[in-house]
Amino acid sequence: MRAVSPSLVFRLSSRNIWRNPKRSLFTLLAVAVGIWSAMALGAFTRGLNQTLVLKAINNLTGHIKVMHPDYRRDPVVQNRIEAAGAEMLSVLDSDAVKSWAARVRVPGVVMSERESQGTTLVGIDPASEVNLSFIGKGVHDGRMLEDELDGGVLLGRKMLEVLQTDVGKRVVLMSEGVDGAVADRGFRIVGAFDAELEATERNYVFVGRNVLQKMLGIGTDVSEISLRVADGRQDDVQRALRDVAKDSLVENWETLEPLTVSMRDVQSGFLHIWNVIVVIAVGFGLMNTLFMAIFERTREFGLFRAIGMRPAMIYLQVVGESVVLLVLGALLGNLLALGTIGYFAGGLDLSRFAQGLEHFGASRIVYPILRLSDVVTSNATIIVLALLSTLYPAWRASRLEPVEALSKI
Amino acid sequence: MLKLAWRNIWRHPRRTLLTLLAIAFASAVLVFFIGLQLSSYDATINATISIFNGALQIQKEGYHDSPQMRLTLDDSNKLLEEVRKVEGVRAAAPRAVGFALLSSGSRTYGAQVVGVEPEVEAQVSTIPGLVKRGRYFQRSDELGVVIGEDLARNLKVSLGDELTLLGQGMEGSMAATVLPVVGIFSSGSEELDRLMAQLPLDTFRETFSMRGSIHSIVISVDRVADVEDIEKRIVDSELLDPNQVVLRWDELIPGIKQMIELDMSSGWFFYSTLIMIVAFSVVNTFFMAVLERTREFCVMLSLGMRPGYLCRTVILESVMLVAGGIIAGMLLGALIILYFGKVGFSVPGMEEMARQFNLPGAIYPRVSLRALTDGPSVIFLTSLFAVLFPATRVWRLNPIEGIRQV
Repeated sequence: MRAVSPSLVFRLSSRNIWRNPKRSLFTLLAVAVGIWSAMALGAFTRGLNQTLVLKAINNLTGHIKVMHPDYRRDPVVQNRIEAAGAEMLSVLDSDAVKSWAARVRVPGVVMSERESQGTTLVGIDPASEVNLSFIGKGVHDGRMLEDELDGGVLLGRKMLEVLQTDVGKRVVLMSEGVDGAVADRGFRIVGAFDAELEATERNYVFVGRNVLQKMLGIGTDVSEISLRVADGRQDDVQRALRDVAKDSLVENWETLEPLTVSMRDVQSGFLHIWNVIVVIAVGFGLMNTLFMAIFERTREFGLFRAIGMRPAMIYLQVVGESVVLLVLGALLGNLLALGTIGYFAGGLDLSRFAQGLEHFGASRIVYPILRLSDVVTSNATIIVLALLSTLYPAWRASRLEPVEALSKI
Repeated sequence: MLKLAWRNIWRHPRRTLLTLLAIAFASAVLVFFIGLQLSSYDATINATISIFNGALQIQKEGYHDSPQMRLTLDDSNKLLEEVRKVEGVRAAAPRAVGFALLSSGSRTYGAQVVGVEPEVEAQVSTIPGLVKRGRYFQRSDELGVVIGEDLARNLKVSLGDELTLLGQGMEGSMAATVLPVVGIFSSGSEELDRLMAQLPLDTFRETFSMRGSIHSIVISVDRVADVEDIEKRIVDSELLDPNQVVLRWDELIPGIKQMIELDMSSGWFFYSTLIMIVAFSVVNTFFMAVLERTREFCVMLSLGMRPGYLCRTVILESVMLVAGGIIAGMLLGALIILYFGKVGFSVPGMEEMARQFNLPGAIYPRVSLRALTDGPSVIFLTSLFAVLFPATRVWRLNPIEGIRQV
């Protein structure tokens, strides 16, 4: 007797699917929604995380920072480092580093005629911040600092409001000088900057680096060197910097911004849990469909068995049916997900929740990010786990007794 | 009809069971996750308002947006007394707020300086109870300052050391005094620990030339859920001058409420995909149920039964099935909540994140009516809506052709 060829099994499987198109359609849709949700919601979650990371990096952190070992715990003028020497410059100016800046950064107070506020005074070289931090993108009102010798100050827009002052007016900046006495100096407000987070607009005021160094009396010393590296070079650069800056602390953003990292972990943890839940729900639907399909074909399977088809072939037929459903559902789900992600490629505007997002440091606009690895895992988990759920119905089908099955209507 | 529906449900026990399980599973998941969300919101809200801000504050209009020294509440004693009598108010405390530079011998830092009434402050804020070294104030004219742990470390001061306070008082006057550190608190909130110094109210008023004025009345309430009613009672009682306002916690810290709304709405994005998947499964089941009974229905129709009756039977069946699934799911979900309510629910990284918001590292969910009903009711409605599609097929049946079908 001629063995039943796999191609016949496949033909039988795919024909059976269209025996009851609506039932198959609903199952297919359930699979599609499952994959769509895993991929699209995953992409938005990744996008949200990415805004957290970018924000952390743009917020004067960079990928890597070099600073005095005690500066993180106690960010004062005493804990400073020397300006980059020849050895460090050779690392900083290498191809692996995209941009870098040396800053003076100390706690201080800004006083207008009416109000005073605690803040952080940041002395910058404006040119080096261009591709490094948010302040490099320029100001909203007035002008940017021209160079590190510029005697003006940039305040955040919210800060102007709180201090009840404006561009063109003068403020006094105070901080502790290197000798422990209070150092102060008057500055003209030359520009106002916008940041996505109001907190940022209040947390920093920017002045020329050289001017601040003079005010504090620290010569050419700085508080930190922050840098942005080329893709994939972070670890190399960090190692190279540790070699040349033995007395300093060289940390990457993951260490400097633990909150961002833990937030990312929590979200991807929840995403994994959720994907499993979706898969289970899809599995129930698929199992149900297959049971029904087997039930209405009991007689047919009995006939197949009676004319000599082996149980394994029947088993394959049922599994084959679910494979076809799964693959079609997966295709549709992928298309839907790509469509959704493509539609929102220009960004999903969450301004309605701006202050809520600000609370954990995320942006108002989220760009979905689709990673190949996510596509593969979403599809693979759903297809593999859903296939597992078809094994039992398929096994039941292959175990049918021909005589009994034939006698059923 | 009930009997008919009941029998039909168990015509295919395995199919029914699987559908039931799918519904129960989805309901349980929603009950658990929503329970988790709601409990974490409660914890967030309570932690946020009990530490310093209170559930309600009375301020001069405009003070919240732009906290300026001169926007004061005057003659506040009578108002305080009256507010304390309002139903639902647990306590009310006066505060005055300023900004000053604090200098120890070697260090200078800017800080938010808050003047408090020691006797009542502990009833609106947890900070008095969080003094880890030294003690909190006893009298409101005491000469001393209580500061946050990080501020103390940054200033390199310990108990008994003197701090010089330098700031702007009312109407541009100079505020300057020297006070010993009597207590150091550790609230767990980085912002408070790094930026806050408290003074007894009378000492504050003297230093900042405030005379008898204050900036806000901070109110704690018996039940946070009632805060809107209490706000309304205060407004209706006409205790306030026209330029004085009552602000709720969600107006004082709008970020928290929006964060909760954002979390809830993004949660529902996830939930709706699950509900859709389950709804497909339910439609499928009933679609099959109707299809395989085509003959039966046709016979009944030709015997004179109205299609509406048949349709109602199918819907009744689905109501029974879905309700059964939902009840099982609610029970299961409640059990999961109870379990995690004991051991705490946590995923990697959550502890670090929670610390930032001043929360415990794990969520201990509680069973609540909302958690039990929010998700399942949506599942119920969606499923019923989905079932209408197969159920209305009854009208399109052609009895003559249908009877001939096998």
